[in-house]
Amino acid sequence: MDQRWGLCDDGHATETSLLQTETEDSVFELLSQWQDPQATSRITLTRSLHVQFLRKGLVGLSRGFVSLDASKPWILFWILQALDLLNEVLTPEEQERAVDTLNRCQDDHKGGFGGGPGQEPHLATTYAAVHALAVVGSDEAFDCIDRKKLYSWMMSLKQPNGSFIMHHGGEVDVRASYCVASVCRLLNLLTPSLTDNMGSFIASCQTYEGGIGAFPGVEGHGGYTFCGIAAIEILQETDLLNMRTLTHWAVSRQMELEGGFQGRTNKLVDGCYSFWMGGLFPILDAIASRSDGNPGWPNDSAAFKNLMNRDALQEYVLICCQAPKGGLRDKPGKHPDYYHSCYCLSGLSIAQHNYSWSLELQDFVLSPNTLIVGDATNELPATHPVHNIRMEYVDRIRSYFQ
Amino acid sequence: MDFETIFADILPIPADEGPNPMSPIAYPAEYTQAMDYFRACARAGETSQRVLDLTAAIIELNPAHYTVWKVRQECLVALSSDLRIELEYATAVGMEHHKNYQVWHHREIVVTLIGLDTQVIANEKKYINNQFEIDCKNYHAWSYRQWLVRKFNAWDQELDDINKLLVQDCRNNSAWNHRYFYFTNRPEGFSKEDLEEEIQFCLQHVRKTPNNESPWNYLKGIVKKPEVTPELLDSLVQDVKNLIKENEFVVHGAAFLLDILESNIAKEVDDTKKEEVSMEAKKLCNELIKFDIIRIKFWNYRLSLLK
Repeated sequence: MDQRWGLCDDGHATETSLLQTETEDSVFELLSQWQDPQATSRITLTRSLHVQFLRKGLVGLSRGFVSLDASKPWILFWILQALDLLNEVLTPEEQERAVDTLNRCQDDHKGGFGGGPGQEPHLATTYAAVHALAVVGSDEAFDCIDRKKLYSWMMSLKQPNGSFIMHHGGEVDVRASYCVASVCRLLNLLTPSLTDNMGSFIASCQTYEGGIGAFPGVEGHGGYTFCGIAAIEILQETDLLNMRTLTHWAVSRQMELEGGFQGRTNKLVDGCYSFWMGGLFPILDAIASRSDGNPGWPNDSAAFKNLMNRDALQEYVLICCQAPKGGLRDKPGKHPDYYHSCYCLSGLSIAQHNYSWSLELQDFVLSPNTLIVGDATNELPATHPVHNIRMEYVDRIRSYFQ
Repeated sequence: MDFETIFADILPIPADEGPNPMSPIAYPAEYTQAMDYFRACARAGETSQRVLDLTAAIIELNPAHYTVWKVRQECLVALSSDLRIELEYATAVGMEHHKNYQVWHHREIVVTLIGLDTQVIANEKKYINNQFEIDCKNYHAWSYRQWLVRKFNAWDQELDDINKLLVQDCRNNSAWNHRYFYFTNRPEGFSKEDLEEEIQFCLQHVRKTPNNESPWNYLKGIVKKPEVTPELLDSLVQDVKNLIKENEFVVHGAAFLLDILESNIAKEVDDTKKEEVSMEAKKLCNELIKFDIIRIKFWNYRLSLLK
């Protein structure tokens, strides 16, 4: 790297620019070791270390995890999705255990899944549970879901303005819309009553910057933008969003030096945005190919094809997010965890594959050519840009509930 | 908390995690005990002072236990508890756990129950500002602030607080976002004079820190307002062009101009003028391709639209 890219603070340092420079320094330290193109081809995903890290989590978690006691389905989703992307197969006994654990989080009375047995059902943990069950993919996994109760519980969370609260007595935000849309698409529960006004609420969360915030007025943010656009894509109401400002905002979140994504303007890179932001791009492609958006891009946007820098994103994940002892992390200096392992790998998968929208199948499909940075064995199976489970798992569960 | 004495009449209910749970957590003994009593009380539908105290004990160990927060809220209502004291409790928890959804949502619920009270609202803003001292971009804090301001029409102090934060750090995008929220939602609205002032405010910022994306995004947002006359826009465009000339190149400035040129091309009827503006836009694209390499595909796409 003859010229160091990155932040220019215009001679006026502030806390933001100081933190950014600090991050760039620690990232550059690692990236600069791989500058030689020959070296880059040898970057390896240290699969077995990550598998070890993840499998330990399935066996048991230390007392520090008490703060995640209301997130058991998430823990399972993060670990099972990450293991699946690493092509790890669960034993039949493990599958049974996973299904039993998730099933016990289901509320017998109201429907939906809570953070643990006996806990209030919550849309986020419901999303995690259903998607984890979809990864397991056995008939038992599918059969344990009480679809009828789940549907009526979700309807009870619906607000007049098209939004949803996360649980009875809980907060409203755009994550809820995504949890409802993604779960219901997989389980064939989307109805006009459920989806009425959903799109217009999501659209009202788009900010002047082009990203989507948690609710109307709040700052555009990678996590909420993914939720908003994935939900609105499922609803096929993408004509409600300004695709021009959204696209510009999205590409602007990729960090010049680090190659990974930040979640908001003037914030730091974080490995998890590899998926929340990276996952937007196949969806943006689909929208462009259909000429949706208000305004959208002109007709015949064939040239609009995966506008992020896929190489840079993969390099960030592979070079900066792999913890030496296993697991993946936010950025150098941070500890690995299951959440970041899941989303770094999911983002890596997105960046490696070529997605396009099939009008015929009304879903995303894959082209055979991939873009694999580093060793060829780094290739992960393709995760679905909207649901974030393997493409074929989406078909599998949807067919089951047809 | 001495559970055995306080809950002597209650039979605790152990967790039903199954014979061989996946990812079992090695709960601390005090958590297990508290949760066993909580389960029993929740099943019995008990809302009482002792249950309120029990929720605090659990929250101390797991502040993300939203089911427990929900029961706490039910107890507060049932007991007609002093809600202003409850806010002090929420503050104690919130200052330990700045990014926890439940503690912020709890504030919202409690403040809603209290209703309109200027002292409470002033205290809430003080609390939010204290949180900003720890993390001036705390998403929950900003979201809560917007909720508070909207709910109680509490627009005073907003611009002052935003300006203080921008003086501290002109790159605080959350503060810029709140500024947009303020001007576009406050009852007196956003007049043409306000707009002109805001444009000048942005220009001051981008002249000082041209590579700071926040004021550029804000500017892009406000020039879409109907009050922006063609004259105002032309003058602004000229200022931006001068700025780009004075610096080697300003990526955000060029991107800003490109958007305006594109919309001018769309509106232009004269073919010669159209071609002229197109040439200018293409030149900008080519420069962006050269200077903003990570986004090369995007700028190439924008160039392709001009052909």
